[in-house]
Amino acid sequence: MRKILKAGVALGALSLLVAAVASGSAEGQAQAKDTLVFATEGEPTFLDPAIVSDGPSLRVADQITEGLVTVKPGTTKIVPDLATSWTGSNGGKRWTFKLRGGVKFHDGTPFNAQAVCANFNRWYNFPAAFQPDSVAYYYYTVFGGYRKPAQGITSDPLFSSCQVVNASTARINLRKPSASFIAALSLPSLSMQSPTALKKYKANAGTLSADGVLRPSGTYATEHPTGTGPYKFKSWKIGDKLVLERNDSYWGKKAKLKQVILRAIPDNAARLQALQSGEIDGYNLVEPQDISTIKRNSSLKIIDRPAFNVGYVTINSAKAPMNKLLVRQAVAHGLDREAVVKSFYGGRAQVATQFMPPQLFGWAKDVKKYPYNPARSRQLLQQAGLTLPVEIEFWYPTDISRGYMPDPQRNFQAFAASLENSGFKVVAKSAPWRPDYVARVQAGNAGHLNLIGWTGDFGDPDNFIGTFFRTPQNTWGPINPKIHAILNAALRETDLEKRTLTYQQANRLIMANLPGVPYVHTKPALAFKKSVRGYVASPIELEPFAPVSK
Amino acid sequence: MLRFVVRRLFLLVPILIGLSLLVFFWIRALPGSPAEALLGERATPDSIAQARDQYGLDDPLYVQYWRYVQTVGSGDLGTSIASHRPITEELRERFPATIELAFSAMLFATLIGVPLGFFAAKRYGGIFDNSSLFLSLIGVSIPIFFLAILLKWLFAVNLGWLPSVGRQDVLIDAGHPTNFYVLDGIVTGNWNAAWDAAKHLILPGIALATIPLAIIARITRASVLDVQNEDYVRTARAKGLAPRTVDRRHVLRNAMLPVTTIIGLQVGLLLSGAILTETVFAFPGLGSWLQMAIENRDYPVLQGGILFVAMVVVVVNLLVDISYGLLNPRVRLAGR
Amino acid sequence: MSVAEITEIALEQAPPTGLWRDAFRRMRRNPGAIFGLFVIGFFAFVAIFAPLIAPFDPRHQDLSLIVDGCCPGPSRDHLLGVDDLGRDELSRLIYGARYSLLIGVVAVTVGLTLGMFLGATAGYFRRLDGLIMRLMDIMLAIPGFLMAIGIVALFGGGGLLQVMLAIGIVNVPIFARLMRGSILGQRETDYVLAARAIGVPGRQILGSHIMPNAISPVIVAGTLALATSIIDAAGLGFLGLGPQDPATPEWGTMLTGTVRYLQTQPLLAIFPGLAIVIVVMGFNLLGDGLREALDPKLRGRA
Repeated sequence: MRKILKAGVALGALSLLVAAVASGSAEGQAQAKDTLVFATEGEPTFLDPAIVSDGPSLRVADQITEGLVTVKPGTTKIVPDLATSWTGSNGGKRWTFKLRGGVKFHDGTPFNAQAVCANFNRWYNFPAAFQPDSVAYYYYTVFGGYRKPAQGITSDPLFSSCQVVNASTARINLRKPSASFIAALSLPSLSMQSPTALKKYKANAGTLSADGVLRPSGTYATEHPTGTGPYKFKSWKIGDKLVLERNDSYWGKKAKLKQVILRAIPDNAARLQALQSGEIDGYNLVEPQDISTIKRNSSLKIIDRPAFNVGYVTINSAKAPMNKLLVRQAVAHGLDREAVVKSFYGGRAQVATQFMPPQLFGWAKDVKKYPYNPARSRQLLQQAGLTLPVEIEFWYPTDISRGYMPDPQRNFQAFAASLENSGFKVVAKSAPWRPDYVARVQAGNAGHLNLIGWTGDFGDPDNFIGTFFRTPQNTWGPINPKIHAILNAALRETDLEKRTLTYQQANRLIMANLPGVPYVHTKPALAFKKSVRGYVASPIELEPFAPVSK
Repeated sequence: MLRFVVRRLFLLVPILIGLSLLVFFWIRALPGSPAEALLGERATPDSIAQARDQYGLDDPLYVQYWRYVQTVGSGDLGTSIASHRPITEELRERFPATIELAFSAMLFATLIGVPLGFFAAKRYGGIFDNSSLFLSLIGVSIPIFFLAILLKWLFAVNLGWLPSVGRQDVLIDAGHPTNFYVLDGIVTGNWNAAWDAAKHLILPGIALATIPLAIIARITRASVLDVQNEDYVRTARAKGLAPRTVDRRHVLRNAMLPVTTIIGLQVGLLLSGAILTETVFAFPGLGSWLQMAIENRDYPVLQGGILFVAMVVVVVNLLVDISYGLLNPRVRLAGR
Repeated sequence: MSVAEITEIALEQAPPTGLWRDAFRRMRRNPGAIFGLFVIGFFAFVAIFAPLIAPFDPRHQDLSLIVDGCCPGPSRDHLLGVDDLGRDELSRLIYGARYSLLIGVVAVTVGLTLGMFLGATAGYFRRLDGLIMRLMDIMLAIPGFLMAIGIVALFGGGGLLQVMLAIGIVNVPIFARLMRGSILGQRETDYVLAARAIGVPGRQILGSHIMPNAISPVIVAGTLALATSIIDAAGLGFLGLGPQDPATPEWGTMLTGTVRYLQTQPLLAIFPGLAIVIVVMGFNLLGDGLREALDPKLRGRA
């Protein structure tokens, strides 16, 4: 008996120890008043915005660097930033920027026309290792090419030259007119960085490793990002945290908090728990089912991000029987979009009628709509001369959560069930989002139907339907060629009213042709402690922390 | 004895070659390709073909294997696609994290498991014995991720006693000369940091410890039962030694031999468990790293990481073997 | 893999008496083993008669039941509540028994068959011993669960068959080692020497003399491996590597889906978790009972 007692005492002592250790944690939660701790979904890749395209990296860039133009907080409206004004001439091929005076980079060097041209020339002259799609994605998307394109890079540069008119005036010459050029300059990847620092820390040096990954040989992209923004870089330890410090000589309104700490927590549930336990002050990408939990917690709050995305099901018309319009219509009537949007998005979403959100110009009210109607679907399939059920492959991605599809598998399951009610036999297939899924869908060798979506990068319809349909793509298979023609014309058009009408026409045409079925625009959510004030959520996730206080 | 050790080391060579072949061909046999992984969601068929060409993925396999052996031999395990950092550099940060976690798990498992097994054997057939058997039964029956989730939910979320993710509170500024965070805190004299790092180890440590704990308790119990019936124990008791002295000097000491071996053999098990535990607790160690690499098709990380993990297991098993040989002359002399 | 490893250590030297009737008698006096058998029997019954027992079709969705993004708890219609797609949780658990038992049995059968074949070959034909056992050593050097993930990835991602094969393959070296050790013990026994002396061919000695006597530790290990296989399968399901069709009511997969609702509806994670714990416990109890019944060292006590 004594032995058991002893064991009991030992166990008791141990649990006391655990309890003692546990109680100690309370004091660790008293967080510094002057620091914002924000959880991101992953570690940044690099801190040089020109060579990244992922959310966590761009979030850092939003704080450190600024572009010639930016967007009005919380909108996609273009407003001046480092350029105070700009004018287009020569039929939209020559753009002259008046620059803000008295602005200094974090290393103390001045921001001027020379700096602007240094940045544009840097991008245009990127060496081969920086040119792949996986590196300078945004520059390549907007400007289409390099001075010396590397082997295998298709190059059709939009940029021609940059001229220093005087210290406060820079001129960009383009090779052809572009209507989306100015809006694209709000992309963090095209923001201004200190030419001195870029040179000093060898930002343009790097090799592709044997595995094909860019390995910068300088330290710019990992230790010395230098911009003009309200915060400057302090330290970064991967797997731990990234620390930003207030720029006390900022040209505009200075940041309210002294320090910002970014911490990568890839798991959704873990981010919520870290917020509840007080380890972080806020996080991005809140899942719909957690919103009521957060709202019930009196010390937490939800901030809405305006909807600027679209979730859709692609239909690959290269795969029979999807080449038949009747079958595509049957798919559209067979997807129970209303139920999915209503049940899974916690009342924060609307059913999409077309491939771009309603806030954007060019959205058309009178597109053809396809309400859920299983009987109509079956009828259409029979009209197309098919025997029911029609077997189709339907793909969905795993390991991904996006605002427009917090849980792709759940959307998939609901859609699969509604399609099976509508005369289809669904074969489920899945692949991890990166790298297989998106590549497969884009190469056209996924299923008849594929679940995917898009979040806008800047406020122009070309960033939505232009990206999808301006050129023929394997994602959709053959579509009505008139759509390509109209979208190309819209891109060249510089008159806003005419552009709007052209995009409306394009949207009507697309929804009649049905290359896919858009189903949702959603308001993603961020969560914060109640004490955090001043955070303005942006539709394109361009969110400076400068106005935030707590 | 030297011959025994040399022989063991010699046996290591074919295993290492086999491992490198296995890992190399496994990577090559995976569906999808490194080129696609590299280009990610922006990949086009053209750029994939270009990447294949550029990185020699179209070379004959033996050429690729030879290149692989050469780079690994030179201490370069490649570069991660996800983080763009050399794999050796990530290993330097993540391996200590996992060792720290595995060590706390083993510490916990041993500190609880050995007394549990010992007292269970002493009270053979009693309530304590039966309840400890039942506990260890649950220990081996509960999926580790399920337990991890329950622990986290209870102690981190509901009670708020312990941190739920990571290795160190972000607001603590601490230097990391060794990357063993608890040790770092002690070395740099930052007690707060050491304490905080230790707290981050408790929940994942307990989750990871359950299976080893159950096993250690069972083995201890069984071997105490065995040793208790040995002649020398009976002799000692007959001699009139105090029961406590007999327990300590004869029973426990001899019963610990198999337990020690078992502790050594848990490495593979711990690393398996670390994959799930670290994933649940977002603990930046080897396990969560490999799990993410598999999700992201981060081929270089998989290739380098699995090879490294396997080598660790092989080396630890070798050490266990050798020390067992040192302790037990019968094994050494059998020279199998 | 864990329990099987210990068994391996505990059993490697076990003499091959194989007195099955004796063992059965001892089993019957072990309440744990009886309870384990009962649990397994219960789940097997539920699995076989699932369509008769389950109140709903496990795949039938009712999205209109979903409130605030997730799932209402137990009600009169749905005794254990509904999941994130409005499917009846109880019915899914009942059908889930089918998958867990199937995965366990197939995985262990694959591992057992391959492992016994390799182990017996290595143990009897000494020329192949080095090669086979080195191969097993290499496989054992890679942590089991990691290897299972790797094999699933090799098969092109998740899937029921993929998971069963992967776990089966991971079990191979354990059974191979066990079988080999057991056979090595048998090889030098009098009756084998006698059979060899009168000129019985090697393959026949292996098949009709050695195997039957060497097999009892393998059976114990097999029962315990069923337990770990079910856990490992759940782990793979948890990591999203389970059945391709996500509507499949497999317990591990059911757990993954619901972990994200842990705060809103913890019951959804707790039910499948408990189901796994109970069935695994059943196999562990039965395995332990078998071991005690077959292990002469413990005979006096059990």
